[in-house]
Amino acid sequence: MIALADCNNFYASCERVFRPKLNGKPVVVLSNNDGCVIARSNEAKALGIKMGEPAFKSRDIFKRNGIHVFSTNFALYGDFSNRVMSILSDSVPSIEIYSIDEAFMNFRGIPKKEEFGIELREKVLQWTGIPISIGIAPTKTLSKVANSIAKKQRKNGVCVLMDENEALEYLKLFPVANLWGVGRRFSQMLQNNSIQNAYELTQKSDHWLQKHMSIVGLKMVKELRGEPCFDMVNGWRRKKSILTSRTFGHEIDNFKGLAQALSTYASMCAAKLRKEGSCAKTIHIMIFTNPFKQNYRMNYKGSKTIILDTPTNDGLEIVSRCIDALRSIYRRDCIYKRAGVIVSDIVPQSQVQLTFFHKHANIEKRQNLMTAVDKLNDGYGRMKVRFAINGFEKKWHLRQEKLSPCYTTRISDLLRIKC
Amino acid sequence: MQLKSPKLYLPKIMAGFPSPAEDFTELSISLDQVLVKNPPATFMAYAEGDSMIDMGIHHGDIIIVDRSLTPCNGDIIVAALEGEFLIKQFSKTKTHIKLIPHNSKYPIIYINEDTDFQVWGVVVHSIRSYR
Repeated sequence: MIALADCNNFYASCERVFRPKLNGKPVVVLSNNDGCVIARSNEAKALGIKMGEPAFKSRDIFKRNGIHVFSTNFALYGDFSNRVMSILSDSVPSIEIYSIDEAFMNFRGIPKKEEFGIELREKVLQWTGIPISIGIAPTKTLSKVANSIAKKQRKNGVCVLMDENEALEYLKLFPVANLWGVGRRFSQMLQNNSIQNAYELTQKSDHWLQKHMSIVGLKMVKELRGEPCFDMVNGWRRKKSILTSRTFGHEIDNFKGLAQALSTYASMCAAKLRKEGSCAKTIHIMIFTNPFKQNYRMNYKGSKTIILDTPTNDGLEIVSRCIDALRSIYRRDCIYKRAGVIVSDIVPQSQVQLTFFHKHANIEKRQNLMTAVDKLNDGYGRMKVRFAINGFEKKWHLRQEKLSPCYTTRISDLLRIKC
Repeated sequence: MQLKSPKLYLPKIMAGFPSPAEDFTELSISLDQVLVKNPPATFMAYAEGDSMIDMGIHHGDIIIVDRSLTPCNGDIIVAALEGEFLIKQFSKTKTHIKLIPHNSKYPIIYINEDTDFQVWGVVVHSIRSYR
């Protein structure tokens, strides 16, 4: 038995915890640089605000309807995610954290699953202020379906799909496009084959499914029929790659500025690698101009892949390799809007094999240096200790006009309560 | 506040007589562990104002709030009252709930069925700095 816990309107709910005034009021959260809507409270959904709607187009609608608008505050959302996940993992035998606001839970051996789900939901709500929904079913795919029913149709936020016939009745009402892993590509194909709901999909032959939707699609449908095909993974999966990419607050037209931004993203990737005890063998850098502003401008996408001899998480090495690579793809006649660094081919630090020419002493020294840098930054705030090339210019920093305080992660931002 | 467990640091001993204290090394005292019993449900805030002064909560104190606790009579709570947070003492009888200040300048707040009221969390510690 698997249960999927999913936080309701997670980012909007986090913004509400420290602002009781916003209960029952429409709330939206905007993406990085305040670009578009990425989270909506139920009230905002009811007003017809769509996911991905560009913020500049919606300013009037926000104002007219008294919608409360926030910039993304990932420090806050990350902290609440940790709290919710820690409560879930203390309550069930094992969990698989699937995203910032979702986790699969192993419900095997838990008697009275529905009551347990309701109590767990109550506990998370009371302890953190975050409402969650729980879908309980024999397979992961069905637990996704159950969760979506719980969210929309159950007052207590919990839905159990144990009985096969009952599950089929729900699948008849469930649009295929909303199924886990169907996506835009398959939903068009399924529509062309006049398959509208999930039930109709389960009636197709295995042969047909594998031919049209590959083996993963077949497994998904088998799961809908109640046959488990996707196993639980314990805890976090080790990431396959780490991407740090940002759109600049202001466009950049010189090498120095671009190098500052790119080296900052490279340092952040390296710090993430060190945090999870991993090393990467491949580094990929990308720079972009703004494709929406084409008049009199060059539209250019530059990228380069660097393959290292030895996987590393050394910030100094990753930054200097990125800057070298940037030199070879930088064009002076362009104005840049976005840049990013991806590190991949990730292996555990303990499995890294050194080449014959590595000097052990040097590596240890570097590792100690990086550990010291991480410790300082953990204690005093991200990027407080940085490489000189990261610079202190703020031009390319995110535009976050409506940022809420980091209530849980910065002492100066703590809530102030009247007494 | 950390959800992680603390690390243990031991000095490297180069040579000579081993330290007799080595076998008795214990983790150093962690204020986190003393003050935060339930990390995922614990939040911090600053107290502002003087209405709880006779209870020993002063302007600028850091309060530690545990949301997992159910308030008992006499507990100090963070209340969400008509959309605003307040720190007051909680008192519940069969008929009604009272929010009691601890400074004679302030009135008792009576909660009835129509009041938009919620217990946000129970205050378990307050921390004052003297310099």
